[in-house]
Amino acid sequence: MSNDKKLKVAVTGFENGHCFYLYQGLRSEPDVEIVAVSFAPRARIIYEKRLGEDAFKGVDIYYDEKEMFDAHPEIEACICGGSNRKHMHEFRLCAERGIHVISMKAPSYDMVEYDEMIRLAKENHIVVYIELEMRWKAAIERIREIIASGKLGEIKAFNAYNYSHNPMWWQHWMDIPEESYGKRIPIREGSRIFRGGALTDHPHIFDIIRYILDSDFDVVYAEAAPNMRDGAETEDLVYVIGKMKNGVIFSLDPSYANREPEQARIVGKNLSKYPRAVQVEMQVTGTKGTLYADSYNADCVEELEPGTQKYSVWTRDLALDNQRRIFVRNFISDIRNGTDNAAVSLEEHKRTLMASNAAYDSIYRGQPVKLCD
Amino acid sequence: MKKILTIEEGVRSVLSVYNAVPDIKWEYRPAEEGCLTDAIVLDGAVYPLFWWRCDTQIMALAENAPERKLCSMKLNRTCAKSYGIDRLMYQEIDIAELMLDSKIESVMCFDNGCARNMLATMKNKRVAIFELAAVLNDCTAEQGRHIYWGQDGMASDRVVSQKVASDAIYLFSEDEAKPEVFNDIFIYMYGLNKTDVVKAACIAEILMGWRDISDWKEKDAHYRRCLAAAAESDRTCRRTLIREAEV
Repeated sequence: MSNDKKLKVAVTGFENGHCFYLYQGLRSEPDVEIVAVSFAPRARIIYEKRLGEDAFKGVDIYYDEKEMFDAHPEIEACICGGSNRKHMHEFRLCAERGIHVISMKAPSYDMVEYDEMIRLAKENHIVVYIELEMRWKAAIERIREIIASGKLGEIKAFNAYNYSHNPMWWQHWMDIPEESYGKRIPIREGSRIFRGGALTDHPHIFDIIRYILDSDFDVVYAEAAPNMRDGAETEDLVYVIGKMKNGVIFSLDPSYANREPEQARIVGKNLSKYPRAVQVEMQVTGTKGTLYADSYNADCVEELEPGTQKYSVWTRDLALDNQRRIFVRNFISDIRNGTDNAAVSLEEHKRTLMASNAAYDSIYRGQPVKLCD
Repeated sequence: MKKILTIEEGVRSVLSVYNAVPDIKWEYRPAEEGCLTDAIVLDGAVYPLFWWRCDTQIMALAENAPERKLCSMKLNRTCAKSYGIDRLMYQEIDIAELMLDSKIESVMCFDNGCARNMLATMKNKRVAIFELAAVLNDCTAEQGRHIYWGQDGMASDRVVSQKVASDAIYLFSEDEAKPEVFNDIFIYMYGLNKTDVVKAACIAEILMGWRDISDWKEKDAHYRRCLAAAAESDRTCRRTLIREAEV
């Protein structure tokens, strides 16, 4: 494809860990030309170490987004990968220039800001994709199919967890409430723990339950346990239960339940202590039975590393596993052809983040919170 | 190999291994319909039997819990439909209080018939999340996972990626699509299923004085109040405090 037909893409921030994967995916996509990136100097050092000294070869590098956009009016699309607090700023810079956006999983937990994003997207006719990787998992489609088959009978309960390590040690902003949640709100009155931890970082299972059950949240109740990490100022163990509008009860657990070496500076193989870096598992119970599912690759290997004798458990993706490529191609197709292949729209995703906010409100009040229509 | 066929036989077998001769009259009473657990009668006094406390995985978790400085625990359990969800919850409440070293102070519960989710705040502010269901076939072993997290470690009775309870033997044959499983553990209780082995071990430990059950009646009353609070919470859709007995 000639260069003038390729989608001209920029990346801002590189603070969200998924920027790494999206950048890699876009680099190998023949229909895309990465024109420029903008990030903080520290992010550049980290990613050049992670991706190699040539990671940004041929790409113009900036330390200021506005400067980048002003210097490159040919940019058509942008991955907005700054800290959650910066998303609104990045989004506005893009939308006002008619630049299409790939947003990270939490566009904003401030619903006034979120509505502003929706308005800007509509007024400027831009395509917005939200990177919600759990929507790309085959197990999720299989669960939907099993439920539709009636094998489980009438669905009564949906329980899921999305565990990970706490990235606070190598992505410091994720434990700074203003950067992750957008503002500093104590988890309970007088608490020294603030919103912006695991519940903010893991909206996937809140999205998946809506997708699998084709229903919305009715009422949520949540509790934050005492933090297990001394150094964290945002919540790391949090539990959310409640009822969907279709009557199905749920338990959603987005905790940072998997420990990590607390001095890790660079993402790498030395990341997890126990048991895996990320786990997403669920249970669906109906009147005729129950199913347990691992939607994040059940096929683990265990190993004892030479020298350190460190025990670890890993999963390996297929070399041809590139569902992110489908995501990117759908994004390009929607821009070029005016189609709408987005799995989740900006408007639709708002209700998922509203449920997370309701869970935070529930922790604060100590009572369940009913979501309004 | 002589097979042990009943829990009582299992108890006698264990006692003989230790040359123990109990000096009290004892009787094992399986839970009748509507009861929340089995019972043991000691010289005429009836005690609830918290037999699950002798499950080796529960014992392992309990032994290590104090030094882990626990923050929270998840009790995900699914049992046979006939076992009943109240009975399952009663059992799991005991396990939660045992591990988290505190009584439940308040609960928020959502009940949907055969499934029930509950968040419990303990008096020491630790949190227990219960994900319970009673939908399995009578012949299917109880499934699920107990896992806790602490400031100084964690522990789980399922290893990484393990979804269902494991067994000692998996017999694959050309006649059956699915394996036949056996979970024999102790040679001196050969023939009993795993649950009955645990029950027999629990009774034997009580009879040999290894296990103090002096507060089990009091705990039974407390767990019943927790169940009542869970029902009230579900009915009112409010977090509900446990009403302790007046002293």
